[in-house]
Amino acid sequence: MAIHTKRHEDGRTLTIKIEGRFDFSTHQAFRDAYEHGDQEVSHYVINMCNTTYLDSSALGMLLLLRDYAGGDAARIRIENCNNDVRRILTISNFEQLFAIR
Amino acid sequence: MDEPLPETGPLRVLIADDSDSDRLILQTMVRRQGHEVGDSLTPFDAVMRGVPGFTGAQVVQDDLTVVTLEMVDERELADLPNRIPQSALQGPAHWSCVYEINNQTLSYFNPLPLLLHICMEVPGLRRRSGEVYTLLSELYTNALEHGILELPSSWKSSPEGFGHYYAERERRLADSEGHYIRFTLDHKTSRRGGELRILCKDSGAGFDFAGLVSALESGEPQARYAGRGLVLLQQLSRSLTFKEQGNHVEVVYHWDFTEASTQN
Repeated sequence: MAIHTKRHEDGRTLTIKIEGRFDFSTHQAFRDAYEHGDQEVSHYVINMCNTTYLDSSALGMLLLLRDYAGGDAARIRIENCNNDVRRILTISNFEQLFAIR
Repeated sequence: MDEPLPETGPLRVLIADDSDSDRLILQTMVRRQGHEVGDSLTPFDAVMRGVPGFTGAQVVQDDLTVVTLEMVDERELADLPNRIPQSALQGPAHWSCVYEINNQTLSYFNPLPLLLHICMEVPGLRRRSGEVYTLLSELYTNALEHGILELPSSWKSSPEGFGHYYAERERRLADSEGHYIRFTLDHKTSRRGGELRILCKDSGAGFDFAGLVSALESGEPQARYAGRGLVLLQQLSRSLTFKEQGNHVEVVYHWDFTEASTQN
């Protein structure tokens, strides 16, 4: 499990890439990934291309990010989910809360 | 092949291709570059002939498996039925097992990979590994965090509370003496598919599940950043039942031979 962040050249977009299992053990690293970013960041991309699995605590963590980023005004895109991850997000109605691609 | 080959001297090239004319063209081109070409064969024959050359005079003791793959256009695959072949009926059909971890083992050992592995022996469950893992993992997390460690979901109502919850999880986990989590897995197949029954029992005091069940039915979340595990259990399974004092939870999961994989 590892989390990598990358700021885009535009300065406003932060990509958070989660490797392996996204569960409670990732909690601190995931929060650190966005909380210490500077104020200019307005768009978030969660890259799940290497995320094998996501559990209910990770759903809570995604909601923490969403509220941090402004709740309904948040600009968060979740990308490259595998079928298992996608299914968990769908069952949990996260398609109404995030842009999932 | 306009580019000259690298200056490594003449090479010995094994040409293998199903098409006779392609083999001939390749042979001519490679020879023209100054390389040595052996007999060109179909890929299967080439590999079979290469085996004794590779193993030498050794008597081959390994099991040898040679597989031929036919490469086809993706469109041709679309017509294949999305079902498990008949051979998949092999594997354990009727079985059950009880696996309990207890005392200090709870504080450092994760039993989920092993439990998943047992379930994956059933071919019909293999393509649903994601769902089966979710069922096992959400049951286990609830038993451990709420049942044994008595961590309240209500803490997960703020970012600080969320952090506190997991800090406290680690602290309380240090002493799990006298506790257990017991999984009972029970599987049987039917003509159409199979049923996996997962019982998870913990040594905790249980909880008021009647209140929780009605909250689940009304769709009211317990806390802003929590309470989604039970929804997953409910959605993925045929039934979710709380027994005894709520420290005994049963999930019934059905799978079907003919059903297209739900994960696609």
